[in-house]
Amino acid sequence: MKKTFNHSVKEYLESVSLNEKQFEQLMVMQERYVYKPIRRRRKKRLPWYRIAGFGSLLLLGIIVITMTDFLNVIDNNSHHYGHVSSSVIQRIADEAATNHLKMKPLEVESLEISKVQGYFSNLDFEPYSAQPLASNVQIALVGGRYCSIQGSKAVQLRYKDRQGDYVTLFETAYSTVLFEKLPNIDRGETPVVTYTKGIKVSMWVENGIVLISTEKFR
Amino acid sequence: MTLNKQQLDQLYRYCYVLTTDCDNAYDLLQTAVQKYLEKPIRQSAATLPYIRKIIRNQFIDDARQAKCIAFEPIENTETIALDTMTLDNILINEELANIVWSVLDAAERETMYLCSIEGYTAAEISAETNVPRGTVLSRIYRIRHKVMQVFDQQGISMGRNKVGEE
Repeated sequence: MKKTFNHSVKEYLESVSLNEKQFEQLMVMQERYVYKPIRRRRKKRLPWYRIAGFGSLLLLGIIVITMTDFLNVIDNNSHHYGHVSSSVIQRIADEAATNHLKMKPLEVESLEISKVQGYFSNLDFEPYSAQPLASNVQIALVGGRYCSIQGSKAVQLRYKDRQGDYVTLFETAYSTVLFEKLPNIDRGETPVVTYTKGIKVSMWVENGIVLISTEKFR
Repeated sequence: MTLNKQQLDQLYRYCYVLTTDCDNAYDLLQTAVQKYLEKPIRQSAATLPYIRKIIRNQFIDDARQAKCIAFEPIENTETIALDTMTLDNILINEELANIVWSVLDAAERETMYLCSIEGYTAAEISAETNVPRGTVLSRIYRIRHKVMQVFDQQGISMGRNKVGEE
């Protein structure tokens, strides 16, 4: 019997159907979803006391972190500069380095420290025969002259090393107003060392006198 | 919405059209129904087209995983049929219909199903399968062409309203 192609296809496909077992399985699957609908998570509201608790903890955390940072900054400053602010250190170093570089003529020239010290009679402190913190220990005194550091009357003693480079040692009376709390090597503290204008500047307090040593940076 | 026997059979046939295997068709239907149940739609009228879309996508995914081409691309320049009615002009017996069915690819079988069983027009098939109308008409032309080839192989002359007559 001849039929149209569409009709034949329809007839052929209509003979295809699910068997009882397959149908049952699909019905069971559907029932499972009907009777056990997908649980949707409800957004739980946190009680006010929990929100307040979390807020307090967060605030406390921020305060602790801020305070720790603040204390670290203070601690870092004290560690490096012996309770001297970095701006004071920089100011002193700049002035000492400038004086070192200018190489103004010496007012007294002698290889003996006693003769040079004897020249500085117009001071409010007794010049101290300290050794500059020079990298090269083979240095010899050349002479000295009056100068000022941070507006305070000071002396500068000029030394020369074997390579012909000069090392300058500045001495002035110690004042906490001008120099804050520079490291005191009498208490075992380490001198502050900084670099400016190509010059290595070391500063410390020894026997109540501020000593600033400058030399060419090697 | 719970699917009844008639609807499940209808969907099972669609799966069978794509897979041409009863077991694979059932697996495909089961996967699609499960996906539908996990994410059902509210409009009951659009349920069957929606599940057919799930079935189609799942079939394409499976074919990609198996690295076989489920739907061959059709050149735009290919000759197209005028409309879906051209298939209705072919008279054929049951035996030849089975042979023809076996030489059609998945896309052609799907087009044939939507045309013969669902009674869709080319535009409706285009909308449901998301392919251009021209492509649908090209597929119909190819189906007719394959039918003619089967007739040639069987030594049967083909003419309007006389196709398959001895």
